Amino acid sequence: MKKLLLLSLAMLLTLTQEAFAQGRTVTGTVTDQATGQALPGVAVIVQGTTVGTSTNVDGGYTINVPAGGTALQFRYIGYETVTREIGNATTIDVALGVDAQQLQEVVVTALGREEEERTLGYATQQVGSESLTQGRERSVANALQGKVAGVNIQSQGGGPGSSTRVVIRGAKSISQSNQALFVIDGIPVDNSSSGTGDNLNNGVDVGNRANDINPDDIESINILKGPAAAALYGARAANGVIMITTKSGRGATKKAEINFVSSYTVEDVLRYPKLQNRYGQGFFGSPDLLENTSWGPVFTGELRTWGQIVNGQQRFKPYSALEDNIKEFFEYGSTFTNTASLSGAAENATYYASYSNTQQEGVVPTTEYERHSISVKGTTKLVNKFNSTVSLTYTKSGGDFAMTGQGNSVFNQLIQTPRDIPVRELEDLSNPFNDEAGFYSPYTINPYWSLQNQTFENDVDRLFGNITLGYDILEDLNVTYRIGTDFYTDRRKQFMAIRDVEGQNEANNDNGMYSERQVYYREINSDLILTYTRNLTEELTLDVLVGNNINQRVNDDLTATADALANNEFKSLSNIVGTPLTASFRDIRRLVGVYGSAKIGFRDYLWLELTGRNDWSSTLPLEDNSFFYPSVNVAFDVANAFGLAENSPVNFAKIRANYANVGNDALPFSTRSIFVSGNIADGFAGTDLNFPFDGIPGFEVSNVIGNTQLEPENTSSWEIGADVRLINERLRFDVAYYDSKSTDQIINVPLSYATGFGSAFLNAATVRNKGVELLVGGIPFETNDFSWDLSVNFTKNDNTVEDVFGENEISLGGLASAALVISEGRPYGSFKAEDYLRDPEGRIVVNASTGRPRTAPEQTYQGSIQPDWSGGLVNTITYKGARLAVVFDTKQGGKMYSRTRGTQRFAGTAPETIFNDRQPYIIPNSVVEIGTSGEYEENTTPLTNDNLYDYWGNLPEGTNIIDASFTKLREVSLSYKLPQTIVDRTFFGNIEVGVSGRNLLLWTPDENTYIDPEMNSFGNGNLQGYDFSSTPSTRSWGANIRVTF
Amino acid sequence: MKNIYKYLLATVLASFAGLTSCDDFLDVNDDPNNPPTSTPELTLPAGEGELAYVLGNQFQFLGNFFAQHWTQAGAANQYCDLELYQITSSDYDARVWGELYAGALNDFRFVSNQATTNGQTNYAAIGEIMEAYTLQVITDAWGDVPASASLQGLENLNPEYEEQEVIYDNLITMLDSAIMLIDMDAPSPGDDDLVFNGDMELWMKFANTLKLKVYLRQAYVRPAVAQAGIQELYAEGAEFLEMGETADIEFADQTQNRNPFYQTQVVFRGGVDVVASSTILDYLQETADPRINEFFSPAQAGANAGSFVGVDQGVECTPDRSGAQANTVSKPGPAVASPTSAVPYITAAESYFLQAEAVARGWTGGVGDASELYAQGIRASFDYVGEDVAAVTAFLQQPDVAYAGGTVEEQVEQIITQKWVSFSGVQGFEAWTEYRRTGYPDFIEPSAASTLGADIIPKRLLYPNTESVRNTNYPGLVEIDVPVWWDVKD
Repeated sequence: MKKLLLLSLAMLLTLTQEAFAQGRTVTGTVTDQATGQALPGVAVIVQGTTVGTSTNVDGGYTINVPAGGTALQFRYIGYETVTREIGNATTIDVALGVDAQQLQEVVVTALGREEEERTLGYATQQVGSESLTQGRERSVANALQGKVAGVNIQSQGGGPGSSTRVVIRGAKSISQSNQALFVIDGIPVDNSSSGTGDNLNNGVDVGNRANDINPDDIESINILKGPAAAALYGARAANGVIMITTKSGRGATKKAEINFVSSYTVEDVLRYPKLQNRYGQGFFGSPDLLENTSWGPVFTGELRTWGQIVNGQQRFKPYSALEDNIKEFFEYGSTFTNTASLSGAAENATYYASYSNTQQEGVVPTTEYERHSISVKGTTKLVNKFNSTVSLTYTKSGGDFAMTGQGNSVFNQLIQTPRDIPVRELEDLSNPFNDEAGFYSPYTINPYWSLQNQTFENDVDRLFGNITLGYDILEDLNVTYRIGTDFYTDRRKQFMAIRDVEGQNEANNDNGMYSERQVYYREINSDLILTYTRNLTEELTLDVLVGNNINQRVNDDLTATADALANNEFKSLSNIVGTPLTASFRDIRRLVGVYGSAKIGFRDYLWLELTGRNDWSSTLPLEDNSFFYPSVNVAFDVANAFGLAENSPVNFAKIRANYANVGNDALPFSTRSIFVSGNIADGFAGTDLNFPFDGIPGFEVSNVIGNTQLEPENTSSWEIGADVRLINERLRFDVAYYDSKSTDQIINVPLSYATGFGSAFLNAATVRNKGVELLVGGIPFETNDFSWDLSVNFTKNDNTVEDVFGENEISLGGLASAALVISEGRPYGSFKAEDYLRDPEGRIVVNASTGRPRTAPEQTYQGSIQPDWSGGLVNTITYKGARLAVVFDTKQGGKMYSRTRGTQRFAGTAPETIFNDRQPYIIPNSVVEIGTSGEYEENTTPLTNDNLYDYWGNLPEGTNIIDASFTKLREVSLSYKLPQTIVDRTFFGNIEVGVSGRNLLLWTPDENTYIDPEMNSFGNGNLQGYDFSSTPSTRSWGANIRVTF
Repeated sequence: MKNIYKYLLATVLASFAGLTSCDDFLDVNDDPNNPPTSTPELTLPAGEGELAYVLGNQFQFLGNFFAQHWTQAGAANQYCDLELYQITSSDYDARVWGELYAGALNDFRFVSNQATTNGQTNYAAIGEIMEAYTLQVITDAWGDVPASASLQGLENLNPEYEEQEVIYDNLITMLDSAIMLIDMDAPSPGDDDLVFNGDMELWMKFANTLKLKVYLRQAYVRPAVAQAGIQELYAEGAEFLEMGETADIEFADQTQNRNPFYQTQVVFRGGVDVVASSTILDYLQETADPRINEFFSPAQAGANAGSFVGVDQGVECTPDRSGAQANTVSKPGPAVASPTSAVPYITAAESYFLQAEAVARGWTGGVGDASELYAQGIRASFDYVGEDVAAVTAFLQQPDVAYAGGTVEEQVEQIITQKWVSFSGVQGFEAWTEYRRTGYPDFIEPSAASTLGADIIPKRLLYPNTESVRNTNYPGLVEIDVPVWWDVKD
């Protein structure tokens, strides 16, 4: 393969030989028609030849016109192309006019092509820099929330640097990623979140790798929504693509311009769980100074002792509710971001360089996140007809995170805290009432202790960039070679201190733990692309593209753990009793593809594009690793075809339709059965039996059957849509309907263990996504100084798992008693959970002697994570230099599991636990079974004071599944650009100040008094919909300033 | 200009032609992290270890709670489900059913198959013996289960359930064929056999003892078959495991090599849950049994610090709970709750008690003395848990302990009661299983927290959830109070 690459490069070099022919010289200057400013980088071409040059930074050019050359053509993106006869002239000055339509509608499509939006037969949506950065959100993905139809963007947690999941047009794949592919300047980059994701005990959201992208460096984002749009990218693009184009200095009118943006935002917790304030610490209605629950007596306000007796002393406090004891634990977080950039255009070149620094302090004390990024990008014309682009970004990021989940996580401790315990008074760990031995309860640990003594930090170094080399072989034939890489190391360090005390808190003793993990990732991507553009006749245009792609992705993951520490003094693997545990994992995948597209345009109103791609993948059986997939799309500009633009209020009306077929390969190493080092676990951390066993190695037959017969996965989809703009673009609609079917999904299908195995890789399922996307926008009001732009987006995706091998059920994970499953005939990600035993009428069956509900012997389906619909509302109002943007975001329907609810009920802190003043009551509408007859009669046994705790603490897990609907005031930003008259008196070129806020308000259904439903504790993978005691989400507000020198 | 086209064409062709040599480039799909093959030497220890982990962990909790050696402490509620007898189909699923079939059983099958191919006859024998042992554990827990249709991978994705009676017949066939394979002159395993270090004489005794156990399990449901089988064993002069020949897996005090009960309860849970059940503690005290010092430890704190105190079975999971912390009563002791505590498959004591029962039933053709074998069982138990064997002579003078003889059933009751004591904390699953078979000790009353009917102690486990969704031959719900086939005695 390497040889092939060299060969192609060599050929490019040979081609440069064809350059010069003798003629005469023409010079001139190219300016902007409107401003009169010089335009650098304008292509100047002798018509009908391959001879050309481009203007320098002053807009000047000099060109040798070969004999026979009669006219010069001036071409520049965003401007109308101008052709001038040369005649006898030796100087030709040209003023180019802005092509309004083109400016708005040139978008970046697959492989980094720039195409006119109106010629595309598929849906894309572009988001500009201003919209991305108005809210001063550090995460690119979060900054898109509420602004794009058809895209589900869910931020997963409230910790600093936490992750976000981006899914376009519904989840399709069961075992592989469903997230959109992130492509920066034509090169795919990694957006994984190799988290401590589904560790129920000490999970940490360390963020996803798209967080490494600095939003201030982005010029625009174009979202390729369907498989048709992304077909040329192949397998990974079936989930759609987030095409990011970074700033390059393009369009700069000066040699150098310095931009500086600084913003400071403050954040606090968006949603605290609602708490009861009537009953305090205790159990069975009686006081109990050790308890971590609020099942004690009614508050009396009298002064009482609390906590342990330490050194013969005990603390006093009034026995009354502390309404804000949980809130007081959290601090104000902050994010301080500074970006300085330098950009400009010089002779035959543009450049952009930036440095950005983001520092985030979390709402949970001790948590923080930091990101530094340095980015450079330059474009040059090397010699005649050659152009090149080089871009490189280095990011250093990392943070200190708090652990989540059950066990010792901060949030888990906090929400169990009795209503009268003064949390802030637990902060001073040197106080003997607060340390490991003196802490009031043996059932939890001091959250401040866990913040100080159970730490997780990471440190990521990442470099991504690419080199692009283009050569115009002929006027209409271009070859481009682009090679890019993305690599990073993520070094993680987790520390859990030893606890060694005597007395009542002995149960929480722990040997301590220290672990280091290094994740290394490297991707290399190479594309060789040949494009040919030609007007075949007056009426027919032709754009042809053929290319070759080579991609390699490598992971290398090494973990070493000291599972018992010598002391608490230092964080190192040498701090150990015994021997460290080590584990390493590597994987590699390679893919070679060839692709092509042909696009025919007819009379500038009808376009037909055909594409095809063939991939050879290393993850499929070697003998049968090739797969081909085609797509076709049509765009019909009705307005242009029937001349509506001139004669009617319809300015633009495009109908588009497409069909696409996209293949996908398997996960690495699915084609062969293996043996694995013996390991058996029972779910409690650190209790495994792991071979070698006392020095004896042991390898067990892997529970997974490899499959040498795997076929590639396939997604076929069709889509129709329309884009209509009326009344001078005052009103615009974009609607799309799509239907995609993902078949032959390669799944690790669970098997009956009695087969001797737990699962096998099989082509085993079909997932269907059908949906509607609607974007309605308008400018209801506009004057010279004032404009109001309103845009509403609506998305409805209907997701069904149509077929699963053997009517099987595939678990995406979660809890044994409340799992998220893939099940035939149900939406992707349905909850299957323990439920009440119910009689045929659906009434709750209780135990006749206790009055407590019985649990059904078999689990039931209890809704899915898929929302019924989602939408966004974007309001932008500008008045002179002022701009106000307001974004609402909503998701309706869908379920989530809330451990917060379960814990609050167990601990008696949830408002519903004071129902009936905690007096005996009969569960409404409940029945008892008569003997074992299957007959039922009305229940007359009340729950007693004694077993109220048992009742609330032992409800079936399914009762913790709640409605995940929400509406958020996602973003408000107000900015003001100082008038030029004032700015001119300073040395600034531009001054803009603003204030912004994000996630300011949250509305949820009444039953959710617990949590922001966007939360998910298990990372940004396919396992969604679990609140498992993670850091609560936040709202933020702040101010910013932008200046230009 | 023509040259350009030529070059272009060459480039494009090269792109495609390059692909034919792409095979090497794409041949990177062999998992570098795990081996593609194994040997009986490498897989036998994995299977043995996995089985011990299940018996020493989840089945240890389950069995010792049901057989009332252990109970839930007051200040926690982790194991209240075991006291409430609320076992659901998600319990004992992937981590027990799954590990027994796809872990231990499939590994033993690989060992015997691969060993047969390689001509390693003794490995083949051990693989088959362990397969029989594991399968008996599975069927004793769940009743009718997939057996001969199991372990076939993609060949049979829906293994049929087989009647326990048929499975029991097959266990004998498997053991007979394994015994035939044992060849004292052929190479045998070394350290990789975690049970006997490749001592094939002991494996022979283990197989015989297991046969005895399989037959005796049928003593009430098919006495004729049991009797005939046992008579045949004795007629052949079969030897059984003797003092010091316990088949067990010794855990090591190293990271992730420690006894699983110690790891989950003592370390992970901080020892807050599991405490001594009054049922056994009272009995040990009544009989002045010195083993109390090994099975349990005295209360560490509170009014009873330093003495042995039990908790009434299940009471801490009822409204009558005291809420007292675990360290104010007795917890599992040094013989069962240490990092290195071994997990037995069959102890020497169990072997003697099995023989004693066979003799008491008169099925040995006059061979053996029930009273002496009973005493040997107690001695072997003292020996195993680390108590002075010499003390047994005095212990045997205790009125409830001294072998009283009497009817067959009276003898069996006495044998099983002491056998139950010997199982305390180490062989919980077998203690529960023998209780189900014989109804002894007769002083066991259901947990105070029971949600089942009066006098009912669970008689089986519910088929796991995974079977109901993954196996079309899933036989449907069988309630926890439905006895398995051999469980016919009241």
